[in-house]
Amino acid sequence: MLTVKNIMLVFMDFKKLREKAFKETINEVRKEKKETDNLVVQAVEAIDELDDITNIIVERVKNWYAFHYPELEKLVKDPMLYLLIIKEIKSRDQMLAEKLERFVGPERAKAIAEKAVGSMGAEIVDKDLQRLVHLAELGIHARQERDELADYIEERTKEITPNLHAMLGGMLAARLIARAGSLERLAKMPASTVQVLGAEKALFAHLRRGVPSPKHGLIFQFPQIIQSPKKQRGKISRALAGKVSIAAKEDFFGNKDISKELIQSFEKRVEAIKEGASKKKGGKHE
Amino acid sequence: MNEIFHNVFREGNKLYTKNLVPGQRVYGEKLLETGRGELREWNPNRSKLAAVILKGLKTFPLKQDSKVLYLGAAQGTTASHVSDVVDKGYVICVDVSSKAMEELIPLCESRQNMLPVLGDANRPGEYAKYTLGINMIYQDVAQPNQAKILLKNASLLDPGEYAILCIKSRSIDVAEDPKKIIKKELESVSDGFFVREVIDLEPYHMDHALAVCEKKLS
Repeated sequence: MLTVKNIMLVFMDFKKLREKAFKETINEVRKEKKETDNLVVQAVEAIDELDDITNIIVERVKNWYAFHYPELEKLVKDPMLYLLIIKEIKSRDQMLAEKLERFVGPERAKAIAEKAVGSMGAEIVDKDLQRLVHLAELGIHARQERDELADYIEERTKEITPNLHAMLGGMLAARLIARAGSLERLAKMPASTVQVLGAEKALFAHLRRGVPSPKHGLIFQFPQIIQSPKKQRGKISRALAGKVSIAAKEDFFGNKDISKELIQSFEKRVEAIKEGASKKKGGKHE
Repeated sequence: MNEIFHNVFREGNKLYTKNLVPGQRVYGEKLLETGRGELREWNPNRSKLAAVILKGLKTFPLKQDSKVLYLGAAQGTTASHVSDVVDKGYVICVDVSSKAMEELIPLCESRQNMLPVLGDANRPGEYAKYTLGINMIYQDVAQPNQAKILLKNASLLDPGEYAILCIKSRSIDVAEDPKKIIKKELESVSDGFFVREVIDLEPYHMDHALAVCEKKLS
């Protein structure tokens, strides 16, 4: 038997072994942290959080500014435009048509300026207004950062997973990676898992209680699935998941660009599905 | 306060281990100063081993000088109590997750008898250089093939030595009845082990069981 169970001997070895283990384990952890798809996962999660933050800030600014000019909310529906107007023009008595024009065009600028004169809002002093303007600026910054993050993800996924990126676009590719945990995990998943990735709640309801299985998870966001009739979505997402799974495998294990062939054969399959559906309909009439 | 096993103390429904590093809290547990040194409260809701001891585990294979291979150490909550118990032995802590290592490595640094390894319990060969001399296995991994993993690691034990296996039925199959799964896992474990004791972890943990196994002559 190989095992050495002399206590003294093992204990003396243990100290050396322990030192070695620390070195190696720390090295390996570092190596794993270097994997760049982790960055994409963090960025995707940051985008979702920034969206939440922006929404909260917009709601607060609207509530707050309504003391001063409650009519503005109805006149400017786009939240970012709303924040921008407050940031740039600030108080109600500065809401003049010529100043507003560069944000909303001449007609609406006129309407906003007119309403401002007879507004039922209260006066606001500079000290109070300033805080509110700063909050609006923060909301704008959060949105700008979000947009920059989206560009960054687009660029990064193109480098890390060219095939997935070509098929799905950066955002959806990154979301799939984030949900799977890493590109490695996504690459090792069977296509059927990729198909329902992001629909875990529905999947477990199906396994536990026998409700119908989910047709799609995150890949539902893919235009060709959203735009298809409900009956075909299941088939199309199954076809897409198959191709996505191949793309992820190629991106992780290989380095060829096979996106053109994948997209072509996916589109052929979609055509066949649509044709099959219309044939069935025709069949009934015969 | 009774010492029910080496360095393990019980008072009513509370469990303690003698703190190997006095003053250190690992996961925010209570520390208790007594005549026998500083004790660390062992929370049965956080640790499956504590739960089974409170439920009356009879076979407790951890000895003062045990050399434990701990598979699935995670942040080291239970592992730290194991290291309290085996104060003359050591604990080799294996986990796959590099995220868990962020907490496990500093913990191992502060405890002289713990050693961290980033590795997959499915592939014992990867961490074989650290497992020479171990005489007990504690396994708590969230994988669908828990029994198989224990069998893969079984060659590290001599006949007559023990393994503690936590069975997480929810990691094996979410839809199947937990009792059936546990029975099935124990059947496959008995290829290499005698199952000496099985305790389910209700009410501390749902759908979990813990089995004490003794290696068979092979």
